[in-house]
Amino acid sequence: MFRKSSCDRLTLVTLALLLAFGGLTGRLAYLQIARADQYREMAERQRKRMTPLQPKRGSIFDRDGEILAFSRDAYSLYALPYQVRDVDGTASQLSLLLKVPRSEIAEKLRNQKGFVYLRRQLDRDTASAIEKLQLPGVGLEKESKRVYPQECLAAPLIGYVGIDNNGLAGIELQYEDILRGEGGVAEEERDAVGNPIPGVTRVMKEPRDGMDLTLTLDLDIQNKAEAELAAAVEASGAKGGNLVVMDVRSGEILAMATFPGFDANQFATTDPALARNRPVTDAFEPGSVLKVVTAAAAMGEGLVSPGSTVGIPPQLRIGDYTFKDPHEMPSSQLSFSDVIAHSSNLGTITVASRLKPEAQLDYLKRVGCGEPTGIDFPGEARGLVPPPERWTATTGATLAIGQGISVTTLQLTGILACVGNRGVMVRPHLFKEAVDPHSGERIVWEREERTVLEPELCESLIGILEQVVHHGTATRAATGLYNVAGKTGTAMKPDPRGRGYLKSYIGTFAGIAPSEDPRLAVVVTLDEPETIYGGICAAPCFSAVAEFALQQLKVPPSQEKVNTKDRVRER
Amino acid sequence: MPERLGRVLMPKVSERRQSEEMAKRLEALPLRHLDMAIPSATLFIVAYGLLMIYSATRGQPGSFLLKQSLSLVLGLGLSGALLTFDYRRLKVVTPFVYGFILLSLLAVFLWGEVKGAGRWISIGPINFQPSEYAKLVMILVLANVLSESKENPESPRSVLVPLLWTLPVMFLIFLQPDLGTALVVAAIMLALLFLAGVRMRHWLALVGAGCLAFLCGIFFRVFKEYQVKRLLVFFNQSGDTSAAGYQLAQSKIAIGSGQVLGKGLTHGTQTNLNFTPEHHTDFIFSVVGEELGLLGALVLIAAFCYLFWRTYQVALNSRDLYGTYLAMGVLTMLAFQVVVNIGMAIGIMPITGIPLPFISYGGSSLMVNLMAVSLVMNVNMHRFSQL
Repeated sequence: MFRKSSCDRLTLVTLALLLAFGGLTGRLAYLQIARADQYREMAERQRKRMTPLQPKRGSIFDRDGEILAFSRDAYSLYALPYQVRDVDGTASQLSLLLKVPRSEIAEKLRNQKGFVYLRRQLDRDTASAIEKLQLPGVGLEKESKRVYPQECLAAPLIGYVGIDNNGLAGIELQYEDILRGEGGVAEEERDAVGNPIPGVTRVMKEPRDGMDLTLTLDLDIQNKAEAELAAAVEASGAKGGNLVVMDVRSGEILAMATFPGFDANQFATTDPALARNRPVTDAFEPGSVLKVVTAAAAMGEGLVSPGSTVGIPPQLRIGDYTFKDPHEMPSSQLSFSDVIAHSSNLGTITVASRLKPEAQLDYLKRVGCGEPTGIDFPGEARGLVPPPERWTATTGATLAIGQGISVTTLQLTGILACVGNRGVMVRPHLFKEAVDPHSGERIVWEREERTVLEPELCESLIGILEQVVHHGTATRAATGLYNVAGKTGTAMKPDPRGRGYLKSYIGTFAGIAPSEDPRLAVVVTLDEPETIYGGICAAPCFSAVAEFALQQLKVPPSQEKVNTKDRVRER
Repeated sequence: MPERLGRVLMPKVSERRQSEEMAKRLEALPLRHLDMAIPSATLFIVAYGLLMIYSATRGQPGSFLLKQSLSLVLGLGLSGALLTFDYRRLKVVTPFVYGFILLSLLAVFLWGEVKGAGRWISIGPINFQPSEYAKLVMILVLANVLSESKENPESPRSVLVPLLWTLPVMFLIFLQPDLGTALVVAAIMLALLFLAGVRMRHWLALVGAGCLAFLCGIFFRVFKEYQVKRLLVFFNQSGDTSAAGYQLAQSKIAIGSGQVLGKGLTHGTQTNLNFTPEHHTDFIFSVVGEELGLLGALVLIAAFCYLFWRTYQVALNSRDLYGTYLAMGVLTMLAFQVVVNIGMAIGIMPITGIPLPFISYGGSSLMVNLMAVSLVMNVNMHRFSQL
């Protein structure tokens, strides 16, 4: 007979089963109701990733809309090495297209584990060729590449961007906020191995493209300036040179050249020293050019007028230093105008010795020495003016002839522009306007100016500076069509290791044109020319650039020719 | 104890059998006695499974749905064939089938697929997985042995004889290595011994010996490393970062994130983005939980419970003990797999690599399960028949 216990056992088995299924149901309810939100969040978190959307960086144009810098679509090639099936095959296929050794790629595919860039900023053709290969574990990511179509032209000025399209130098750095735009965010879904799933990307925030930037530069003048500067450097055997062309009324920089330069597209391989925009970043001892300021101070303080006669001593002993003129003066009695025209150190010091130190400093300060010009460019040098407490017996005399003080090429340009603009100092700038390519929103430069010199004083100064070209040290600065005014400088370079001077010079010519109604200030400095005199090495460059620039601006030739090429009196 | 369960459980039937004529009438056309709930529930679950395989393998290379459908057709054919004769006739062929399956399991070692766990024998395009069939064969063998046993169930021999029949098959399956299927076979044996009324002391000793053997296996490194790891994951669910731990974590995320209503068929993100591994085979329940939610999961579990309930009824109403053991064997085989598989996907059972019956992708498994249900139907149909 079948025992009762067997029957009970069937019930037991049934009960066990019921218990098991009850357990499953309970656990399911726990997972799918009580902890459901938590698991849902975990599921979302592991498949959704926020990826940045790159904005398009704004382009940079010259004042006429010539393109200086723009961003082109590019691709970065990456690999997820753990997904690469055939390392050698993949490496050899890629090495053909990337033109790098196969072993280099294979090494990257083997060594790295998670994610590795094989190449950044790949052009579109190569990228699409790679895409066609359909290599597992290899992917392309869209980005953009900065291109400088003008290559070397104004490269130190425009600057460059880093691999992530962030401005690193020059205008690119200065106007990073305007050019970069604002990144967006997209929510992307990825599968378990991290591949993005096409078609489900959700843009959370649209990127805002950068604004297009128009500079005050005139590409034609810039071109001419760079060519003439390079020619002058070569002709004079100099190491390098700087040149600035500035509109005296608006403060707009029309050209800013520095030689030698570099190609912004190759900035990665460029010596950082070459990448500096030296007219703004490098200060030097200007020498005689600064007699312009001395003359302004002397006449402004009523000590002399252009016609005042100044006696030129054979030599001057101040403190324990003896000053001499570097070249013979035509007479021992010169008008103040001719003291400047012939750049007599002794005449200038004689006049300046009657100036109070405060007045001398005041005028230097008024025209901006020792202060940054405020140009919209990163890394501007402010130059050096010795403070009153550091003055010695000779400081007044040396300052009068531009020694013991340093200025940048741009500061010199500012001084000349201020004189040319009848004493109104306008803040120099490179920014003309920025336009949002989508909304059309526009930002324009707001002019800043202050009056620092009397207009009549400036007229007198211009008259003196015309004489410099007419029969003084800078007859070579004369142009064929326009009267010009300016001052030469030939300064010994101070020894960077300490006191004293080197046997090398900086030759300068700083001028304004046309002198009867100045439009432009042009300053040329040459570093260590073999023909040391500014009037010889730098003045011809000034002449060529100033004349070209004025014609470019359609400035009518001077009606009454005063010191054009056919009117100058060479000694 | 030859004639036990039937009389106790079916007094009404024996009363009716007073009339020979009536008995004759009952014997004719056994198909009319079939409880249609069993094939209905089974086909519902099979359809559910095809849907899940479709959803889980959509967009993947390899025609999983087609292959599974072919297995289904083949399985239905074999099941139909099993209905054409009285189940008691199987007793005659059981020793041959047992011999055949032992040889097949041995053949797996000699000619089976080499990579990973070699469980298949390929004959042309057909992959034959002997371990799946071994479960069904063991049900036949044990039902036969237990129902024919002349032993006193109190004696230890009543435990030893079935054990000796089972051990070779279990051992060969375990060596493949297929720990999950070996455990299923063990469960079938233990359940049937339990029902046969062996002494509780003997039964518990057997269970204890099994556990001891298991622990020794771990200690002497008989198990593959991954097998032990998968088992250990169960005890350290949050801190485990191994492949198995990842599997379990992703399965739980999938099911939990499915919430009550699910993300919709084919819309499971965990499934589509391959976060849940093995989502068309062992972890297919995570697709159910994710895409169809608690509701879909409960529907499936309810369908299984219904099938098991009707199977249980078949066992109760069987004409003889052989039929009862057959039905209870099948019930044990299916229920054990369902509980362990679902339990594994939701983190209350160790990961042992057992497929979800009728739902997981796999031809041999589907065919064997269909034939097992067909066996139950046969017992059900012939409850009025005399051999």
